[in-house]
Amino acid sequence: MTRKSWKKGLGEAFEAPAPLRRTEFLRRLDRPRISAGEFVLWQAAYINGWSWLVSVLVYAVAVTGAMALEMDMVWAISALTPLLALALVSECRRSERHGMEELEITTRFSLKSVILARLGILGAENLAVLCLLVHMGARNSRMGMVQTGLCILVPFLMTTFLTLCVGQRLRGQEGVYVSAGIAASVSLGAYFVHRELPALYQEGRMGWWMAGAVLLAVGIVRQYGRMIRRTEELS
Amino acid sequence: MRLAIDRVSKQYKNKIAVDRISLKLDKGVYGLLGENGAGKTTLMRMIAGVVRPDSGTVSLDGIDAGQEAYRAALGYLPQDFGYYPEFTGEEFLLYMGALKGMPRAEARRRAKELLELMGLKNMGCRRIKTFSGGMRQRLGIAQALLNRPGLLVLDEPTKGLDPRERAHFRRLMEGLGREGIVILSTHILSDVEHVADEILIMREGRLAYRGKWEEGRGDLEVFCMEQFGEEGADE
Repeated sequence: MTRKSWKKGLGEAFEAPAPLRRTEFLRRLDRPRISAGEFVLWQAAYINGWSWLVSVLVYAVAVTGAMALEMDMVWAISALTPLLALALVSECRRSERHGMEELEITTRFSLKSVILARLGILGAENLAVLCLLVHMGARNSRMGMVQTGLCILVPFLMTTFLTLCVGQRLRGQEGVYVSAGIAASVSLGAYFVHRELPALYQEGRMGWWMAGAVLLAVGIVRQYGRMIRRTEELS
Repeated sequence: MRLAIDRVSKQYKNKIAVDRISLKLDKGVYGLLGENGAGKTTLMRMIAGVVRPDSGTVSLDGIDAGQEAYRAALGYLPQDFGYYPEFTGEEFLLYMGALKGMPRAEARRRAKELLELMGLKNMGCRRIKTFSGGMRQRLGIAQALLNRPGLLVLDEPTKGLDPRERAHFRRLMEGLGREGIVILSTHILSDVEHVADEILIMREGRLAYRGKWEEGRGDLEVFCMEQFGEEGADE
């Protein structure tokens, strides 16, 4: 007998009692009054200042290099985007790192909403910053916009994916140190590839970069899905 | 208002932490006693919706644990909780107020009221990391009371409190029992003997005793002495 048929059979054999005074209970409840939109705005105020500062610094470096010094900044930007990814993932894991999960999970909005709100706010901000970075990177580069975009995006996606994978296994401060190590390695790797293996950036290889970016994006969505599911119940 | 716990069980690997417990609790204060490892915390976490039972249900007036309406009526103090390091006492309460869906002005008013009630009036603007263990515990109790919960679940609330603070806590609980359901878990009998309307004792994951303190006073004292030693009976 399958699980589904067991459930159906049990449901037919034992009729669930009607909830007691449900309407009265719901009416009496001193229901909170802030909306989901207000809640998201509230969360923006509680995002760690470092997360915003990292974005500002990375963008400032890109603008200074590309506009004031008129340098090809793709290598520098692609080496700095892992820091953006690290800040994003760290912020999403802040509740766990500081032991706030158990309190947050029992509130009206719950831990899931907290993480989704932070992810939404910082994800949108990172997307905007990445677009601006691609624009700055393409300014003095011989590469086209798509090539520049992929070279900048792949290190960001790779760091996000790897730090999320680490977070599933290592919790607390240990996870933070390993994630920082991953971001530093990807950053150095991006710099090394640009300086020592420029052939990898040739237009003919962009298909591989594109495939890598898509695979990483799929992996990230799956990892975030796992992370969100884990917030529904603590072990 | 009625909390219905219907044949809930929870197993961790080879250990059955909670074994088919059923309870119906109406307004009042309930003291949950049991030695370490008896399953108190697991039961409290299931009531708070932090962990899901492997089988059975927990509901408040027909609303299942974990649903938004249930969480809106809940106040919870876990055995251990953390805080964001940059928070002051008042900021912590305002943050928890936002998660509980309270408008900012109301949360601010209530936070002020509770800081005063918990003897932390002059500590509101100080960072939590400068608080003593007892102050942190009082702040934890304050956040649990923030939304005027109909169901208050406090796991080892007197941990870290000095005798004067514990006496104050008992007076506070006496009043709260008239407004809703209060469940206190402890291994110290004296914490609940004067305030609890009923005593619940857990042993090896099962409910070993339920009754009024006066009804089984002598037996309970002997039982607690055997189970928890002098500390449990006399402290």
